[in-house]
Amino acid sequence: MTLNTQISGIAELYATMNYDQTRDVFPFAKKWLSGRDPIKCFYNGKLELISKSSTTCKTQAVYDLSNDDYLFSFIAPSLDDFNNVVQSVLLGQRTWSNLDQHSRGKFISRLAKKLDEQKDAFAEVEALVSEAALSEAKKEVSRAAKYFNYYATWAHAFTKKIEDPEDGPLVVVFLKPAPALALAAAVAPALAAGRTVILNPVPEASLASILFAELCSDVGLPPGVVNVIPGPLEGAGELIEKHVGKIALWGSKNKTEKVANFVSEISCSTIPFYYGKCISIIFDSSDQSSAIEILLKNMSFSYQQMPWCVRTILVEESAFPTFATMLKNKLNSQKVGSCRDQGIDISLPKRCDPNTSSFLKEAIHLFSQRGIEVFQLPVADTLFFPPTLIIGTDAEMNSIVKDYEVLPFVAVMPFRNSKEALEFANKSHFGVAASVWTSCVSLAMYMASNLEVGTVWINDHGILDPSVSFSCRKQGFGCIGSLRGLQQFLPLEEKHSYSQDLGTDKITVKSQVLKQYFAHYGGAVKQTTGDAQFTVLSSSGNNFLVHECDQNDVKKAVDTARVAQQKWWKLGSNTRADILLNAADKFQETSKDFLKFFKKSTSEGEKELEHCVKYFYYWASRCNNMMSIKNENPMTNYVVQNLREPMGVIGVVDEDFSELEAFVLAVLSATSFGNSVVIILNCRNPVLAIEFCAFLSSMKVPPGLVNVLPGSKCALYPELIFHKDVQTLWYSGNSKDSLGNLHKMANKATKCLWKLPNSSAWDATDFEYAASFTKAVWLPSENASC
Amino acid sequence: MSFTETNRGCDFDAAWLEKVPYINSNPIVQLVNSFIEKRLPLLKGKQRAAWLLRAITCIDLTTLAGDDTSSNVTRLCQKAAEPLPMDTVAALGLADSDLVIRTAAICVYPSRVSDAVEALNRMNLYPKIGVASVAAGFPSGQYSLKTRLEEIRGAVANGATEIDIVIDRSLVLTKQWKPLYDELKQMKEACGPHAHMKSILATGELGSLTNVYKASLVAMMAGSDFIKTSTGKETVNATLVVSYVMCRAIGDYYRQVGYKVGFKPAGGIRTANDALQYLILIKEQLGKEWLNADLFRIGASGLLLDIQKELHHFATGYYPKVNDYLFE
Repeated sequence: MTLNTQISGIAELYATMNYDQTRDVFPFAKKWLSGRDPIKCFYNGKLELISKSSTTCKTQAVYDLSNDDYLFSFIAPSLDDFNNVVQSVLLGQRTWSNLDQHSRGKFISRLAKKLDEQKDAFAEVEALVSEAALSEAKKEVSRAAKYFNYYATWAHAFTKKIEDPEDGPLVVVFLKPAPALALAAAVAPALAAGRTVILNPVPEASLASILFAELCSDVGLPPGVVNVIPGPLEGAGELIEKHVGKIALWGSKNKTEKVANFVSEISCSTIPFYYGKCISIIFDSSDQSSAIEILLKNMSFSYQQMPWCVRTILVEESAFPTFATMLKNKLNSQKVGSCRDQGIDISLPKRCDPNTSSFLKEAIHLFSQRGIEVFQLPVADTLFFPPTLIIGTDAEMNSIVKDYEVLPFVAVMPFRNSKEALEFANKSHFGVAASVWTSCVSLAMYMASNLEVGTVWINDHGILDPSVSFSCRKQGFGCIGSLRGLQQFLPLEEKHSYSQDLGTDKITVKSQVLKQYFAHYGGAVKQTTGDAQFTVLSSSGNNFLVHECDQNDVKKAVDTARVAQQKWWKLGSNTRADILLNAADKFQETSKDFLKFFKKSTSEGEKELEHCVKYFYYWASRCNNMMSIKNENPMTNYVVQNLREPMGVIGVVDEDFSELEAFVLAVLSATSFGNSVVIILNCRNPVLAIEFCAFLSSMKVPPGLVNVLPGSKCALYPELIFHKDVQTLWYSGNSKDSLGNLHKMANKATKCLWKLPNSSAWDATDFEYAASFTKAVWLPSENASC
Repeated sequence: MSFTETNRGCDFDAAWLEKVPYINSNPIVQLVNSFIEKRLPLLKGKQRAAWLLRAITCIDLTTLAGDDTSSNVTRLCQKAAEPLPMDTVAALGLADSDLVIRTAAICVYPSRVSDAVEALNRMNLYPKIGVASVAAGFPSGQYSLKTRLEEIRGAVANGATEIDIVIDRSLVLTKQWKPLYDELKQMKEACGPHAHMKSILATGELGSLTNVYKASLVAMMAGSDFIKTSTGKETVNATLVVSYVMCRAIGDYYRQVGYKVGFKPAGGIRTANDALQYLILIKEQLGKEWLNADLFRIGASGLLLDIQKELHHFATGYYPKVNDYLFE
């Protein structure tokens, strides 16, 4: 037997029992990059290559976060580049729209397969420029591939086609280095819905997007379907407005707001995916050791770029002292290092610049000054800010630090009872996800149904699956995964069946006025103070005088609507169905009474009333069964309970040309899902709407469930849109200008605006998406003797 | 074998057991997977070889078969004394070093204890290599307490230095913690002042992770020097998830009472990778000081062969022929 030369040092290693100390290396990424530097944009299926020496443009260099090595440089795009990209995406859209759904589905499946094959390469390229460890990045890429696989199945199922290529393209704006999951969550459903995409990453993290676009070309995706243009979008507003159908934003809220200012100048529908602050609620009855270890894996200082990172831990007071000690001990035993070191538990975020560093130190100082316990892990390199626990209070509540999101803090604070825990948790303006730790099933479900978040994990944290929605409850409602994630990208139906003008608005008051009309909110007629008035002349020759309302009325109406909504929701779906069905009976009996208010001829009026009765019955009967929702079992060790919850107060701007139909549709669909509505009437015939509202108020609905406010756009719309209690916005009407304006305002308010489908051709599932919200509750289903 | 500190146990603490929450398996599965994924790739080359050597020194080389005789027990003892061929040892650069690689103990049925003691005595390695005897109605524990205790005393009298007792699972499943404590206390007494007691919980038959955790605590309160996962005869033997829960109990007991109790996974650990996963688990959960034969054992028979092959490959660059290691 021949032996190698003698190996030395084994005995020492035997004595120390340490792990091998190695750092991540990026052989593929470096090689891939060398042929592509400097980076510009990707369109028509290929990367625009520029020789570095010949360029006269201003370049910006990007350096390695861990050692400041030069990585690549990047050329800021000019308006010409934007033009090229837009031309490319429109071309791509034409090809993509002309394919049938099965071909699209096949492409997406192939893309998923490719991504999974190339996951090591992709993860390298992603990790090279981000704070993520290579091993984490690899996991994320596999996960992303699963999203593509999932949406490929939906692509086969959808036949809705985008007719106008300019309604198709989607711009995906990444406001910070985004993981592969973010890419998949936006691109996969958009492609499945028949849209093409322009990816707009931040320059320093543009590599993954470019590689992704190259992989798309590799699998034969038609040129122009996926395009990349890194860098800020300023200057391209007009182009986007004209040629783009939707914008998706991915980032943290305060950063999004900066961009929202830009986006609010664009009259485009926007879907925001916000980063948030997740909360974990620990009860005495929980397995705290497991909770601590799972939470440590998901804490913001180790896993900052994921939207489900934990920033606040609420602990039942009886368990608080031991929990805090255990947490500190466990944190002390964690291996801390740079994101390039292998085998570490907490990877420190990139080195702080001096400004952030001093800001952080100042914040810590302020906490200590106020007697708040601060626990920090000692870190050798002073350029890193150490993982920090704020114990006994929530940093956000104390408003000591404003720019809370960038800070590597996790707050741990006690609560006295479940009600207080809910109060603390729901105070947060993020509303993305929460975990509840208790072995008491009834308590867990109570918390799950009352937390204002999109996802609740029971005895776990950070589990995701493409078939389960992951979305933000409080802002934007952008959704990752599930059918809902696709619905937000589906094209709007744009059929015009009424082409009349608004007509008889604003004519001077005539002498004979049969009846005067005011706003109707809070269950009663309010003598409005607004001075503008307009008259409506009905087919029966009666003249009605409608008084406009003012901003103050909007505020009051929303306040009553909020209260009414809570009452309405508490009644339960059986009672709601009962009330609405009774109302429908009554409406059918008395519908003749409404005829005299129509402007159209009696026969047409009768026809419209017939429709209204039909809708009334439809939604009243669906009240019960719409609340049921398919539950998912993505893995055998979890059961996902999807809870359907109402949006809350829905603000409706009604500019519809039908007289009652569209109004009834909006009111009943919204209320049947448990919402209340505040409607600004700028429609053809406000009288009918007010009469209908008065009719509903006479039934057993809580006062303020349906509120109508006659008024013109300029003054009232912003009041409604920016009111913080209005959760989502609907628009009923056909004016493109008006819709564009409303989009701008909604973007600024970071709210979702949904255009109601035409009242003669609608699909109940669209309403489901717009009127209700799905909360995913992950319940453990465990074989105890595993 | 010498132990640094024995577990003297403590009074039965019912309140402590009541405080134990329901233990969810999902998070633990996740945690175990995550640190194995993270750490296992870090054991490469020399590092891995060193860890494998460590694993060998923690093995309780086991034969628990109906057809065990004096001859195969003697061969087992020889293998325990020299688990690696001379040439592999030399190639690893350990020929002249003080580091002598032997397994921690051999593990046999009570009737074979005297054979093992005799064989080791001939090699002058008794009790440097321990003789562990299973006892107390192994493997089911479904015998009268009287005979179970008698078995222990007999094995100790024959020279066993360690006794691997099985607990009565029916007491766990019916949650009779105090009777379980009393039984174990008597068994510990039967082991006498010198023989160490390892309590086999037979986790595959305990029904839930919560029961595993509670049974671990009771066994430690009663003075077990080691807690061991399985007999190797159940349908489900050692798993990482169960081991994680037992290690958590060991850690909690140490923080509360102050004694370090050892951990022994047994059954189904067959490959070098399997063994390394347990070493990683121990290091992560309990710390480096648990990574030696005083506080960590692996109950295995086939594992040694796999480690031998891997170390041979590491040292020489090729795998040995099948008949290079005939002593099986």
